Amino acid sequence: MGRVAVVLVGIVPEVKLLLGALESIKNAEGFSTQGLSIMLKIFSVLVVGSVCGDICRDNGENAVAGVVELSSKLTAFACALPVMTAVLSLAASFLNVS
Amino acid sequence: MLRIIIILSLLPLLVLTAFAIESNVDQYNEEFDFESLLSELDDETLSILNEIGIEEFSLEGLFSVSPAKVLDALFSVVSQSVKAPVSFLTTAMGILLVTSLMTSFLESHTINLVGGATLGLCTAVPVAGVVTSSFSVLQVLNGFTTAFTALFCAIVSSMGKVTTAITYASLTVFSDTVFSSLLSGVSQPVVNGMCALAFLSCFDMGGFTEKLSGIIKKLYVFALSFIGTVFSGIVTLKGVLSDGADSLSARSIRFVVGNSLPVVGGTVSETYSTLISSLSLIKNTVGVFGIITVAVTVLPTLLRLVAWILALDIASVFADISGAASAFRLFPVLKDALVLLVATITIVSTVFIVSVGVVIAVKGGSL
Repeated sequence: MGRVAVVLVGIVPEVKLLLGALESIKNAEGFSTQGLSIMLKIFSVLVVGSVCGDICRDNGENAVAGVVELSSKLTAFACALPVMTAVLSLAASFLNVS
Repeated sequence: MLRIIIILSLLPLLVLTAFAIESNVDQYNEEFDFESLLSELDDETLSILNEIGIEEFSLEGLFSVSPAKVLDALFSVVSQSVKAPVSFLTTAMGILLVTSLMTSFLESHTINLVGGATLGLCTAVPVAGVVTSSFSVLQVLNGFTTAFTALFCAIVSSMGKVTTAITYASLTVFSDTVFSSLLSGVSQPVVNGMCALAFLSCFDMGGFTEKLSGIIKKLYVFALSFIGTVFSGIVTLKGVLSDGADSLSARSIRFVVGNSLPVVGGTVSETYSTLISSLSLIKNTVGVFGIITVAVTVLPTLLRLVAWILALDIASVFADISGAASAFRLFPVLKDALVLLVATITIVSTVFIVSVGVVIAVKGGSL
């Protein structure tokens, strides 16, 4: 686990660079900032869940790893719900207009 | 000698009063109220007509249209039409890039789904605007063709072509009724339904939405093309037949007048022919004005739709390259919905242009 923490601290500058690039794309004119923010949130949740799951497996806790990954996927799906419901209501509005 | 003097002195008594009627085509403006046609048009169409040199309804106005003005107007319409699709394309490529980056780090169906849904939300507003403006253009077209039909039939019947006028009026009113029912009862629900289907394809439906939209597009375009072809054929055939009937009646009038009226019969007959020919000029002017106006009315909307179809095609290619499956399904279905709109506008305007063209092609007076 200590080695994992060292590697993670080592890639922080690259992660900052990537987040900066994503931020500049997000701030460009015409972009859906809400959608991109949600995608970043989902990505972060899944990455954290994946890393925690791998750490648990390294320590022999396979069941815990499975539960952690499942909960990260459910959290990601919950974050995606507002966008999904917005698309569904959009489709419904097109059908109502006709 | 005395007889010669008497005959020469009586000669001035045998005079015929002859006069020429000054025929100014534009004077018929007031009689037929051509300016009422312009009130049926929207601001965009009127500004394009002004740009190409048709500022008012007149023969000089039509003759003042030059290729340079038309090209300038076309260029400005094209440049206005491509702005929104290009902006959408930039947005779509950015979202696809971000989705592709994230899925390359972490293979996740949820990220793909959200990426597609975000794209759908970005696409919805501009596409909804294009669809709404297309249907409003069709309504403007319907109002214009109704007003135009009444005016055009009055002119055609005033030049003695009563059968042609009645045929044209009945067929145009019938087509207007059929197309407006089709628009409200079929086109609008189908296009809106396909847009809804496109946004639902952001969720993984195994390619079902693409197949369904492809089938609907084929059926719709086939049905519309069939109706348009049948109607254009009927108009052409009836136009030719009614022209024959009108020509016969015109020749009969000339024959009766020329042979029954003593001395002046020939002159009156020729005057009748001249009058018919001048009314034919008015008929052709009004007909050409109608055709140009319909073309100018639909052109900006068609260019906007074509620009959007191209943008969606390009975005679809990018979605395929980036591996964003849900976006890859969204764009083709949306494109199919816009293709239906292009087909509808094209058929409706073509039917009108063909029917007016048939009446114009009918020879003035056929004498």
